[in-house]
This record gives sequence, C-alpha cells and structure tokens, in this order.
Amino acid sequence: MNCCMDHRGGQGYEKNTGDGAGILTGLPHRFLAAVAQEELGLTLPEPGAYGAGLVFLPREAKAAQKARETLEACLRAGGQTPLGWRTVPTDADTADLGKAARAAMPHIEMLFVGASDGVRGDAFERALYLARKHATHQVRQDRSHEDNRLFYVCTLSSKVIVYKGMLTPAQVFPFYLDLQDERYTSHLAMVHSRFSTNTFPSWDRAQPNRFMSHNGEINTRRGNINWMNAREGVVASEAFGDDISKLFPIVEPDGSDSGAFDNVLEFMLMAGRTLQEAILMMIPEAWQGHPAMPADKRAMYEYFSCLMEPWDGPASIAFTDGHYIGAVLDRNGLRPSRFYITDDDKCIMASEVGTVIVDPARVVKKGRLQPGRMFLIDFEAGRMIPDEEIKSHFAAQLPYGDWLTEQRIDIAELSPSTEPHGFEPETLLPRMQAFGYTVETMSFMLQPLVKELRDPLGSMGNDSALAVLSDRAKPPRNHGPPCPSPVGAPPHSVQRRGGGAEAH
Amino acid sequence: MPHPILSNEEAAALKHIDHRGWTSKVIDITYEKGTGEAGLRGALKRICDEAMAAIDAGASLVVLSDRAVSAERIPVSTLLATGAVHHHLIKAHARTRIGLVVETGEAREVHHLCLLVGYGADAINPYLAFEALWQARQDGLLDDAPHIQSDDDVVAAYRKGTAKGLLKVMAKMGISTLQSYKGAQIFEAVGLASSVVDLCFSGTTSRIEGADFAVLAEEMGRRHALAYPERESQRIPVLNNPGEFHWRRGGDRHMWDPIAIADLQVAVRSQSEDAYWRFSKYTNEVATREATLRGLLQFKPGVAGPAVPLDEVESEKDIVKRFATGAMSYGSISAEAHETLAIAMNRLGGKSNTGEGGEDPARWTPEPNGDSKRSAIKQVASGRFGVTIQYLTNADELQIKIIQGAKPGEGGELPGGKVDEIIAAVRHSTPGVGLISPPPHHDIYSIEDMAQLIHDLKNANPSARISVKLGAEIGCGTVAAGVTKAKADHLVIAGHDGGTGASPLTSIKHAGLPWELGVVETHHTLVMNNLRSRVVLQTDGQLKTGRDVAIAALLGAEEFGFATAPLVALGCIMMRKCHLNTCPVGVATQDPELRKKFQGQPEHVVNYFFLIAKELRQIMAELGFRSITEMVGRSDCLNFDQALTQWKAKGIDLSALLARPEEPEGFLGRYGSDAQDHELEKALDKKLIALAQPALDQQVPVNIELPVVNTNRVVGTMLSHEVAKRFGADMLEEDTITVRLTGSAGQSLGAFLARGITLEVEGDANDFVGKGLSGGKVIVYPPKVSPFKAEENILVGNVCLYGATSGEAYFRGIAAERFCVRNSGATAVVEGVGDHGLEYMTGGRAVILGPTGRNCAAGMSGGIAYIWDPKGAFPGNCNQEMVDLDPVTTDDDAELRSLIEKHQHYTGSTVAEALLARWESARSEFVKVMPRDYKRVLEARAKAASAA
Repeated sequence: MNCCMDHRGGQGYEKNTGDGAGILTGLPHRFLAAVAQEELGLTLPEPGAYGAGLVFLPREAKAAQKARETLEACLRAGGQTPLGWRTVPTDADTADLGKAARAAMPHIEMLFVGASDGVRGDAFERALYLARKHATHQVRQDRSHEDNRLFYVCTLSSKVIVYKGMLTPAQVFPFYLDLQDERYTSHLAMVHSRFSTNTFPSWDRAQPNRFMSHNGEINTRRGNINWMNAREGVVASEAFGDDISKLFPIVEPDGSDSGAFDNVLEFMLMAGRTLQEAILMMIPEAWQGHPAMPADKRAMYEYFSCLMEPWDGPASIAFTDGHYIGAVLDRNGLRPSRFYITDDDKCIMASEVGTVIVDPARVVKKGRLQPGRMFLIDFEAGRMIPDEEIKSHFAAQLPYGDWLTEQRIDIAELSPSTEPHGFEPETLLPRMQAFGYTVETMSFMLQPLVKELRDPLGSMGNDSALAVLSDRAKPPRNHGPPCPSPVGAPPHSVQRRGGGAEAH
Repeated sequence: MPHPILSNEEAAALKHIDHRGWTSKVIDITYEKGTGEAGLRGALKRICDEAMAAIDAGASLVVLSDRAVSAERIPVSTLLATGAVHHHLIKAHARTRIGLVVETGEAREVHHLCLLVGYGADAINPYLAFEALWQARQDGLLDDAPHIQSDDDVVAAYRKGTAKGLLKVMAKMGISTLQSYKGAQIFEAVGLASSVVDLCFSGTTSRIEGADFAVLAEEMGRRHALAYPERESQRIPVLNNPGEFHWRRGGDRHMWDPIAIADLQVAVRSQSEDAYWRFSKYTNEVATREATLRGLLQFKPGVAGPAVPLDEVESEKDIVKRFATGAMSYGSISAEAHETLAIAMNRLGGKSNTGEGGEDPARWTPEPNGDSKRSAIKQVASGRFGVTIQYLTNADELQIKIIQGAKPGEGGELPGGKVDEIIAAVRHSTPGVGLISPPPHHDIYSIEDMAQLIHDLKNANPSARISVKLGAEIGCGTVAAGVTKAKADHLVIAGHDGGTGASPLTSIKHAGLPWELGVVETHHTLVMNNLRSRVVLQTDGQLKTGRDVAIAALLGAEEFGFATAPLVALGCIMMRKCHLNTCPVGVATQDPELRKKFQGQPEHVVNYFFLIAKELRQIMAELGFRSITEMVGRSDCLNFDQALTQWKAKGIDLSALLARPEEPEGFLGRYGSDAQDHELEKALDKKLIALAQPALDQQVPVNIELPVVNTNRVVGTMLSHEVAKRFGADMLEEDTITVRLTGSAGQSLGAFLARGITLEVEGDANDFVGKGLSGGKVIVYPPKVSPFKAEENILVGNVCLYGATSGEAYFRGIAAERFCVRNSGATAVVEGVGDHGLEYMTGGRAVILGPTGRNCAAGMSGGIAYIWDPKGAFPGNCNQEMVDLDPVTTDDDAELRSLIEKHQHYTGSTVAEALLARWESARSEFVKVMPRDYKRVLEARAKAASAA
C-alpha cells in the first residue's frame, strides 16, 4: 500500500533517503516468542503479560549502555521487569539506504518487559508509559554525549509495535528483516510515509507515532503546546497520582506537529479516556453554528472546548491501540481518506483508492471519511461503529449539558454594579496622543472600519520604514508583524462555516 | 462571551464581577513618568506579581487596565503587559486558572487585536477606540453610514468589522476558531531585543535583535510627552499626521517620495543617466538606509578577490535576462500598462507575469514589428481564472502563487464594475459580476498536494519551469525545502513591502517580513540540506537599484523581481488609488477615460532595467565578480554597519544574516544548476501520445483501451498539451481521441483535458478529477461487476473539476468534498457530493442527482446548478448568501433533461434511468440554484435584447 503512495512522501537530495516511513501492527506474539527463544534463550510470558518495542539507542556503546540502564531503572522503579534486549536485524545495503539516512541512523534494539503480578491491560500500559517518559526525559536531556538525542522509544506496549525510520516506503520491509518473517502476523496494520515540512526528517520523527499517524498540518501547534504546558500546573489523575510530574513535559521537545499531537493523545489515553474520546476533544467537528446538531452532542463539544482548544489544521488522523482502529478528518475535510470493505470483512483505508489490488466483485462498500466524522472498528466486538453511535455514546455518558448550566456564566447574566466608564471628550485628545493616535488612525483605519464593517483597503504596498529603523516613536507592536506560513498553514475560506469567534 | 471585543458595559461588569463565586482583580498597567527603563521593567514585574497574587487569592479574572493614564502616569504597552503576564503564568503552570481581560486605550486596529489574542488575551475592551469614534460621530464624520445612528451602533459596527477582520486573519493562518488562535503566537518580531522577547513574547523568533526596554521606554516617554507636555504652550491641539500610509512632507520616510519618483521618470523617459544616478544615490543612501535592513549593509571589496576590469563582467544584456516584472493581473492594471510591461520584458529577454487574471490568446501571436505581448510567466493562482490548457501551454514558466508578499493568504476581489466584456472573456466569467478569488488553492492543503500540482503543471507543459511563490516569513526556509523536494524548479521569496493594487491595510502594514530575512533563511536551509542546486531562487519586494540587486544576490538570490519600480517608470506616481479605480495616470484603472492618460512606453522599462544592470556591473567589478552566479550567497562580501543606525536601531544585529551556512559533504552547488527529475517518462501519457499519433498527425479518431492504477497520475494531461500545442484554440473535434481505462485512476485524472479527448474509466478515481478541464470529456462509473448501488458509494475524490473552464464530466456515484469549486464553464453530472460543493462557481452547469454536504454553493456567483432533492433536504445544506433556490421551469426543462439523458447514456446510471422514466413528476423534485448577481445580469441582458 505504502509503495503505491510513494508520490505522497518526501525524499531528500538523494532518492534513497526518505523523509520517513514505517508500519504499526498488533504485537506479533508468535513471532516474538520464537525470536526471543532463538536469540536470547528467553521464554516470553503469555500475551498481555509482557510488552515489547523498538528502541532507538545512541550509536556510541557507552552512551547506549547508559540509556539502556536508565530505561531499565525506570521500569524497575515502577515494578516491571526488563527481560532482555535484542538487536533488531536490519539490512541497510539491500534496502539501499542513502548516505543521509545512514548518517542519522541510531542503534536499534528491541526491549522485552515482563509485567509484574496482577498488573495487566491498561495498568501495565500505564506503567510502561510512565517509565518510558521518565527515561526519555533523562536521557535526551543528558548533554554528556551528543548521541543521546538519538534515544527514542518507538513503542513499548503489550498491544502494538512500530517499525519505522528515515526510509522510503519501499525500504521498510527490506530494511527490517523481522517484517519479512512468515511467523509475523497481525490483525491490523497501519503504514505511513512522511513528507516533512515544518521540521526536518529524522529517524524518530518518522511515523506511525505510538498511537496514530497523521496526514496534514497542525497550524495551531505552538499555542496547543503552550496551553498543554500551562495545564501541567492543574492536571491531576487518579491513575498516576504523584507520579504525574514524571510525565512532564507531556509534549516532548523537538518533535513534529504530529508527534506533539500523539504525545497529548497518549497522555489522555493513559489517563483513562479512550482514543476516540480523546480525539473528539482534540479535533471536534464544527459544532458552533450547527443548529441541526443534537443538544447533548453540542453540550459535550462545548464542555470539551472549555477543557482544550482544538488542534486545528488539515488532518486525516488514523489511530489505534490494538483494540480499536479508527480515523478522523478535520472539520473542513481538507485531506482525503477513502476506504473499501470486502465481502470477507476486510477493510482497506488510505489516502487514495487503488493502493491494494482487490477483486472489484468482492468490494461491497466504497466510502470516505467525512469532515469531522469518525470511522471506527472495534476488533473485540468485530464490527464498524457508525459516527453517530460513537458520539451519542460519549455525549450520553456524562451530564455535559447540566454541567454547562451549572458552571458556565454568560456575560449577559452580569449586571454592571457601577456606572461604566463612558465618554470623556474633554480629556480625549491627550489620551489619544498618549496612545499614538494620528489623523491617519482615524481616517484610514477606524472610520472606514465602522463604515464598511471590514478591515479597510489600501494599495501600492508598504514603502515606509521598518518600525525599528524609523526615528519616530512607534508602539512595540509595530516591531512584530504576523507571519502566516504558506504551505504549513494553508488558508481557509472565510465563507466556510464552522469558524467561531466565541471567547471562553 | 459571544465576542472577544467587550463593550464598556461588559468590561465594567467583569471588573466588578461577584457572581457564583467568580471575582476579578483589576491591575493598573501604568507607571510613573520620568522613571524610564527602570520604571517600565518595574511595572512589568509588578503586573506579573499582582496577577499571580490574584490567582492565589482566588480571583477568576484579571483585568489589565491602562485607564489610569494621566499627566503623571505612562501606560505600559498593552501588548507588552499581556505577553508578559501570559508567559509568566504559563511558566508558573497557572495560566489556565485565570481569565485575562485587557482594558486598553492602545489597541484599536484589527492587527492590534490579533496580536493581543495571539499573545494570550481572552477578551479586549478597546475603550479609547470607542471614544474616538463617538467623537467622530459627534463631529459628523460618520454621517454617511446609515447603520450608525447612536453610540451603541458605533460599538456594534466596530465589533462587527473587527470580528470579520479577526476571522480573516485566522483563516489566513488556517485556523478555524478563536480559541485555537489564542496564544498561538504565529508572529515574528522584526527589531526587538531578546531581553524583550524572552520576557514578553517567549518563543517568538527575533533574528536581528533591535529595540530593548530602554528604547521602548524612551518611545513611550516621547509619546506621553507629546500628549502631556511640561508647559501648556507646548501642547499641540490636534492629532499629528505622520504620513505613515501616504507620503507627506516632513512625515514618515517613504522610499517612493516625489524626488525619487521624479528622478526615475526623467531617467527613463529622456535616457538621462545623470537622473538615474541621482535616483540611485538618493535611494541607496537615504531612502533605503532609513527604511530597510539592506540599508544597514555595506559592500566589503577584496573578500572575493581583487577588483576586475568592467569589461570582464557579465554583460548588461545577460544580466537583464534575470529580471522579471511582478504578478499584476490584467484587471488590476490596465491593458496598456500590462501589455507595455510584456513587450518590454520580451525585448529584454526577461520575463513578465500575467498575474492571476488569465491572458487574451490574441497576445500569443507576435506583433508585425516583432514585439510580443505574451507574458512569459503564467500565474496559477487560487481563482484559476482563465487557466486553460492553452494558457499553460503558451508559457515559459508556470508560477504557483501560494501567497502574495503584501497580502499573504488572501484572495483578490474584483468588483463587478471592473469586470467588463474583455476582462470577463479572459477570466471566463460573466461581465458585470464581481469575482472573488478563494483565499486558498483548493487543491493545495498539504505539501503532498503541492507536489501533485507541480507535477500536474509539468505535465501540462513539460518545457516550462515550475515556480512557486512564497512569502518571506518565519519558517519560509523549511517550507522552501519542502517545495524543492516537491520538485519546484524555481522559487520566489516575496518581501512584505512590495505590493501593487488593492489589499487590506492590515496586510499591507503588518504581514510578512523583509525579503532580506526570507532570502537568507531560504538560501541557508537549502544549502544545509544540499537542495540549493535544484532550484533557481528569485526575490522581490521594493528592489529599485543595482545595489539592491547586488545585495539580494550576495544574500542568496539569482533572479530578481520588480513591480512598483517598473510601474513608476511607466508613469505611476504613487497616488495609492488602485483600489478605487481612479488612477490618474491610467496605470491601475479600467476607466476608459483615465486609460487614455497612460504615457508609458516599453522603452521606459527597458531603459530602467539597463540602468540597473549598469550600476550592478560596477559593484560586481569592484567586488571582483565576473558573473551573478559567482555572487550568489557570498554574504561574506557584506558588512553590517552599526554606525548607519539611528538611536532606536542601535540594538540591531545583522550578523546572523551575514553568516554563511555550512555546506554539507558532497555539496552540489550554491545556485540553481541541476534540473529536477520530474519523472515524466513514467507517465501513462507517453503511451497515450504514441497510441494517439493518428489523431495528433491527421486528426483521425483513435480508440485506446488500457488498464489504470493509482500510480498513473494526471492521465491525459500531457496528451492535452500535445493537442493544444498542435491545434491551438480549436483543439480537436469531440471524441477524436477516446481512452477507455479500467481500474483506479491516480490523482488529477483528466486535469486540463483538452477538447477532443474523452477519458472513460470503469472503476474509480482519486482527487482532482478534471481540474482545469479545458473542453475534454471525463466519464467515470463503477465496475460492472460491483455488487453495490453506485449512487450510495464514493466514486471520485476531493476537489473534482476545480477551476474547470469548459468540457463535460459524468460521474455515476458520489464525489467527495469541494466538487466544482471555481468551475467557470464545464458541465457536470454526479450522483451526490460532499461538503462545500459548487463553492465560488462562476459559470457552467452542475447537476447533482443525490444528496449534498453542508455549505453548498457558498460564494457562487455564476452558472446554474440543478439539485435533485426529493426529500427537501437541500435548503438546509445550501449557503444562500449569494444564491436563490428556484423551481425548475419549462425553460430549463430541455437543458436539464438532456444532461440527465447524456449521463444515463455515458454511465448507465440507474438513477438517471428512473428519473427519465417518470420525468414529468421527477422534474418538480429538482431545485435550481441560481446566483442572484448572475440572474440580475442575465435579466438585464434579456431586457436589453428585447428592447433592441
């Protein structure tokens, strides 16, 4: 599939250095049990009682050893047992990796971790998450060796595993020999190839991320990260208790916008929400100005909007935790996602149709993701869950409407307790002068603004001096023009619905 | 709060709130006069501390207020105070515990409000703007606005206008909600010291340093002293007029002042070299120095080697080939000005640019005297006006305009009055109906889409180089690297200070960066990633002299664009009336009387460019360069001269600008010397062209049958190029080349498909089917063996028929989002569409035999759509701002019915069959979507016809 969408990924100055490609699958127990036995003489516990994952380590042996020890120590501190490290077999020559990819390549190993007694499922995942975050902060912030910045845990989970790197789609399977092993089977697979725009390619920024893959851009990334940092002072979780501070910063520095999204998604998942609920919070559909939406769903979105601002921008996001696999589009539907369902219950979804050859007689449904709508498969229940069902389920789960009524104060409810400051014409002129008003402020900006009800027009560009070069006194704001990024942030049409200027 | 702008009543209510446990704390943000920098810094610290204390005391809101301003108290800039508090609280992990309200006399324009929200304000009360406008109303200055009858109306109008402006700025950044814009700080500071940025705007880039707290305090003090002078006799009884927008004597420095304009015009009209040297000396030594970053740079002879004799330097004739004129559309400037520029650039061997309004095919035939009015650069902008296969074929360079330096992220608007018969014909629209360019390219929402459009255009004209125009702004280097990997052949980095024609003042004054910063960032990023050799880098933005060009080259550019200067050479006197259609010199107007005043001649532009080249050669000789390519990126030949700065600019440091980037191992080159590999040889069209030879050679009909897979992208486009190249405007008879494909077609199936070609696909197709359709026919239906109902399944992807100008399309199944956006002449039948269908459509016909998504027909100003709506669901999904929903009448019957018949015939549609079987009853279930403007023009025409 991924090779048929090679044209959607990016390459560097060499054709054989990709911006990044990879695959996420369910944890292939049969395969892992066999290789652990063969290579390490290690007998793995039953599925669910251990976790495994690829770890990118420093190339330099001592730094690598120190990183291993740090991660092991964090795991032990949480009561889990590191079982062994396995060198992941790779073949850079057959895969024909480019010079740049080789130069940036970390040392790649696989770690097995045994769960402590009675700790299974979500609790075990949380323990692995906590250890991983804590170790990652320590190693990557350790400036004693420059290779430490290579340290990155692709995944560490009892449910899913990711193989990825600074590769082209066609290099993933030849490079990772594990993927060619016939014993490697999975009930799901998610593939991704990257075309880096806002950050540069590296092995760790390749996707899939831990729980999601992303096609698109997040235009509000800086604000989202600031707000996440700000929230670290108020977040609390029964699941983590006092350990929660070990997770900070929740958003790992130096990641891509997709990486930041994944960090927050994972945080909410680990704190007890499902992936799909976390996604509804982060990429809500356009609920403002949508009178046809059921009241309880609106209330849910409005309540969520008080907790988190949307991660906005063109996006098709596919997510999975092994139990569910799903996908969602941004509110405007700016990325493509198409799917086929066959008469033997296979589902193929990708940015394009035709990436996997299927007998057309067996295709019973051809669909697409729709703006703001979710697509979800529950492997345990063995079915696709329609968007309406997912959302009404969450909307009905908690009394969001009641909470809003109780907690929300509408500004219209307030009555001014004293006379508002009004119009003081006698002191107006000096105040206007003090704030830098000019004749032009009034005639070019403010009067046209209220008369034409829009930002006034001018022409022939700007040929006046930069504020800092002008010898007149200018307010500080003139030193900082806004900077839209062109491809990074493709503009929307203002006529689109779904925008909102409400303030909270 | 329904709106981030608070009325005074609302602000007062919040200041005194004591409701359901909510309280607020007002923090005074003024400081004592005469305390200077220490006073300012102390005030900022106090404000942050008080905000923290308010949180600890349980307040829910803090209100930063500068109402205490007086003869004794100076207001801290609201922006500094807001940014400082916001970042202080973020660092303390306390920001989410409190709301941040700003009561400000300073903020008034949309840009100010954007900055405050972008740096964390939750709500703003711009009380002084209200008062100033109330005063204006009392003075009778708002009497011509019928919607303003009271002070409350002023506030309402202000809120409405600013909300629209805020949404527009947000939309430019690709952000849908204010909530996500808040604190997003998508800004770059130009000329602020790190000490200020770290405290108030943490995380914002500021590459050249600049004003520190001392300078800011000095500025605040000066402004305050103007308002509250020591002695009453010093009081100025009126607002001052600095001439910031329009030049005035003694006002702010403008680079184009009457002296510069006069000298340049004398120089080019009378071929007076003396006048040029006066112009260049004044511009280089006075105007540029006081207004731009490059003004602070000096050449460093000797670094690149000893001076070389002038006659060894690349000739003027070769140098001027690197010059291009800016993208100014015919429509924004007059035909006379547009054609004169084209003739001049063709004489020089440089390049003129169509701008976004298409081009009259008559201009592609050379004049009897050998001159040519053909623009070498054909622009492809978001509106896709007149972008046909012939237009693309008749180009040397195809320029994808991502943003316009002076108004990034905005589409143009051409009012109905400017759309006369000729302009309408060139743009494929209706005379008298206004045109809106959508802000985005609907086929570029991500870098992979950009790669696809580049590939599409390369297929549409394999011999043209593909250019992408970006704005100089923070991150443009990274974006440029992405675009280079997406295989652009050429990049334009447009500076913020260029710009001709109309644009919102917010964009003119506050969007984008100087090109110096953009070029350096782009060149460095490309060099460090070893991508520089793959692209040619051009820059523009108030380039005027040989010195400007030399600096642009040394910073990393090898081609140079000029817009304002050649217009001045042709007679523009900077009246700044482009948006009013009253240009007194016939440059930027469509008024036939004013156009008669146009005095410009091609020689003027030719003379000007040769004079620039002459100046440039002298600099090259002195620096020891024989060619431009040797100069590219040699920033070590420049020196930053601190002595050139005045008091405020003392903190500026341009050394980062001059550092040369490290060249990686195996470095491929510092300028565009290697061709991109567009992989055209892999195209299915190579096979199609071979198989279609009988048609291409002798117009003999051919039938081709082939399988298709998704990696066969942009099928039919290179073939269309061959047709357009050989047969010109008439192309081929319908169905001369019929291609029948089986499978899943790749993206851009039938893009810019030429008349005479029919593409039929049994299977399905991806995004962009039939974009720019140019007379061809595209038919898609599901495999005959498919067990599902065609009308309930997705057949074709997003953005089908975007910018189509003519031709037909029949889709038996549902199309995804944004169907037929900016269609200006094609006919389409489909069995259902997603959201935003028919947006900005200006012509053609669309028949939708199934449900539509939301926001259908938004911005639709022409053409007609027929929607089969048996359940009455359509009105709820239609954006009726510009269209009427009418019943289908007997007049429409024949047209609608024949389209459905064709659909049935071509695709075997059972939906069409069932409707036709009961046509009399089915017809009443259709809704006709009729743009009101279009209806008005058609009615006027009918009336005129019957009167005649």
